[in-house]
Amino acid sequence: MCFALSGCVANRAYREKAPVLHEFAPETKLKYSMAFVEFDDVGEMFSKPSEIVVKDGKEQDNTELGQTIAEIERINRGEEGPDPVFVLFIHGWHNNASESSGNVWGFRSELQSLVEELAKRQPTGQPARPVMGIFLGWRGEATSLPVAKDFSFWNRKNAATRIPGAHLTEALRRIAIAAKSNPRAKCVVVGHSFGGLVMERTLTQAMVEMILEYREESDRIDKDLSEGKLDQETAARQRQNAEDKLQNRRPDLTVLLNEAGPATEAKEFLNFLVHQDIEFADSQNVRHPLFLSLTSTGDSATHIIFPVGQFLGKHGLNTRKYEEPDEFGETDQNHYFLHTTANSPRLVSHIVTPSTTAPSECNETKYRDFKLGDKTYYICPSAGARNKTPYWVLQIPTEFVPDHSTVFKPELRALLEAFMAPHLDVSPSVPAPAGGETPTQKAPPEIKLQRKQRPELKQTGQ
Amino acid sequence: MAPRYACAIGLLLMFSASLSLAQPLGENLSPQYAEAPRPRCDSYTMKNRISLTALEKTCYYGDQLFSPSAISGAALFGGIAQAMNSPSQWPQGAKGFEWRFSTRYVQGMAKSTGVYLAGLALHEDPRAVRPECSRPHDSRGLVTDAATPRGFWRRVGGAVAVNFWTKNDSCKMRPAFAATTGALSSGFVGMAWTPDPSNTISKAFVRSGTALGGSIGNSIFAEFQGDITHGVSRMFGHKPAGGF
Repeated sequence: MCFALSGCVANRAYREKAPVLHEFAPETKLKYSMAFVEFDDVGEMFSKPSEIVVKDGKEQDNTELGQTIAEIERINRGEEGPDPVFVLFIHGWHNNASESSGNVWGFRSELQSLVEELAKRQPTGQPARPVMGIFLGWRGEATSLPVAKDFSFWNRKNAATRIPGAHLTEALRRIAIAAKSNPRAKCVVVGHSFGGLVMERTLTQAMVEMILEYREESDRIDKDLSEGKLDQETAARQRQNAEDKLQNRRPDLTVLLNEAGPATEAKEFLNFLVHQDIEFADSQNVRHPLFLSLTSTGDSATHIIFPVGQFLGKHGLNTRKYEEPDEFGETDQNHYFLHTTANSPRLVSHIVTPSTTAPSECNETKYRDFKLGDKTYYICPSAGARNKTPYWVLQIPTEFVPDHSTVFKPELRALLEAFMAPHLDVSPSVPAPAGGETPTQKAPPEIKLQRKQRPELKQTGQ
Repeated sequence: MAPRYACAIGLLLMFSASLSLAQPLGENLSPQYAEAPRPRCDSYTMKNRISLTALEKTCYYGDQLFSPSAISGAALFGGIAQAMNSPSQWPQGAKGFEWRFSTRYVQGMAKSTGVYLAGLALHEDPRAVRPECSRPHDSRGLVTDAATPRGFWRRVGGAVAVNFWTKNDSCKMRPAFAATTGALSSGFVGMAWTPDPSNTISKAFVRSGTALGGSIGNSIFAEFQGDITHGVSRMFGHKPAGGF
């Protein structure tokens, strides 16, 4: 009774009984899957030991994560069509995995639009590409009481900082590995608000580990080769294995929308990317984003409320002045602590602007252009930006996202499509060899995470 | 008779056997796909549906009754009235503020109730910002395609006009009465507590006019909320887009 009167939102899983949904879009009847993996208020997955059983000598994992992985594997076997696309989403404040959550409906709507858009792009006669959405749920709403729920910002922010732990890392890594076990599959990760903070904390640490592992392995192969311990063929094979590990165990693109986390989170990763000379480029040397932080200029929560809250909540935390300006020209760590990544002007790398008001340089340097209604927009590198890493940081006009929470919009979809297009393009399948059972799976031209070319480094040093 | 029974038993056995064989095979069958359920009252649907259902209008009404903006608005205008000593018959201090704040809060509730009831009866949309009927939408009424960005004056014009002339639930243009009904409810409910010399019909109409002005202001604020945030953050020395 007391619990109900207080309006507390239960700390429970909403999707235990049916974590994987098979649905179709209302108009076109195109199919998509939607799976849920839920975490409690301290970041533990809602799983029970009894959900993992051994049957006929085989382990059967009936947890939400287990069923999600099984569905990914089913789709990757090609049962629903070729070239699947997996989209993983983690929500923010005021949401959870229940049917009454606006983010569940927004995500569902995006999946329907994506499956329809991909079907339009397919050549005539080709089956539609399968789409699967994975919704990571946590207790983003602590109370349903009107007014009171609007004062739970700091309570929920604390919860969001508890979620990135071993269970979330396990879930993200297993999902990414399962999804990318098919070289033609694409995996896009999206985090909104506190969900962006959760995602950034988890994924940047995993990326650092992967990049360092790759580097260590490359150095070892080089050393062994020079010492004659390896022949050229073995070295090439080992190099390819290390390369595959790096390219095929990570999401193709991670998008953080109106992320409600301090820039100190991103800054450390940005430093790492700069020091390791990492770029994410295709065979034509066009650079693409691996991480994308997008914040609306109309987002009052991260523009105005967040710095005030950070200031008030700073307590005994000591930030420092840098002895010399950092890689991005900042001298005060406090600035990064008080502002979100996209609200730290020194970290901004690109702009989105209408073509009519775009600076002249934009015509030559633009990454991509796209239409919104009858208006053309450009995505261009920001002049004088010091952030040239594959972690792109942008502020976007209010026509794409008007405020903090309205992120599921056709307008934003148009912008995201511009970033996702290089990932969603596919090369034609190679026909099956004579007598072969399945068509040979050949990956489309890949955008690779790699170290920059050395000559370029020498030039910048001059 | 005997062959008939034997035949029936045989069929039954075959059916049972087929069931037991089908069980393990069933695990490998393709899943059944079904249409997504119909959304109700979630925040995504409330923003993206061309026309709200009666249930969704009720949810919207509930949200309007108890919201931080309803409380802060009542506190702000209660405070202004306190500073202006209006009405002069009411005391100053905490007691006076309590009266002024609570009456304004009740006026706000009366306004929301008027808008809600008129909206239900006349099939009008209570939302301050709503998707245009001309935008492509699916069978559930959810917009599917991006809107072309509009210029400043078209946005101002749209935000003002929506209070007087708008599209109904069937997307037909006609005069709008909900905003005016809400304003009149707010103005006239004040007659229940306004002290005597000021408690006249003409004063009630003045209060209604102020409430209607508040509705128009709210529509404009809702339309430009993002741009106002952008302006405020620039004003405080924050250069958002970097470069250029």
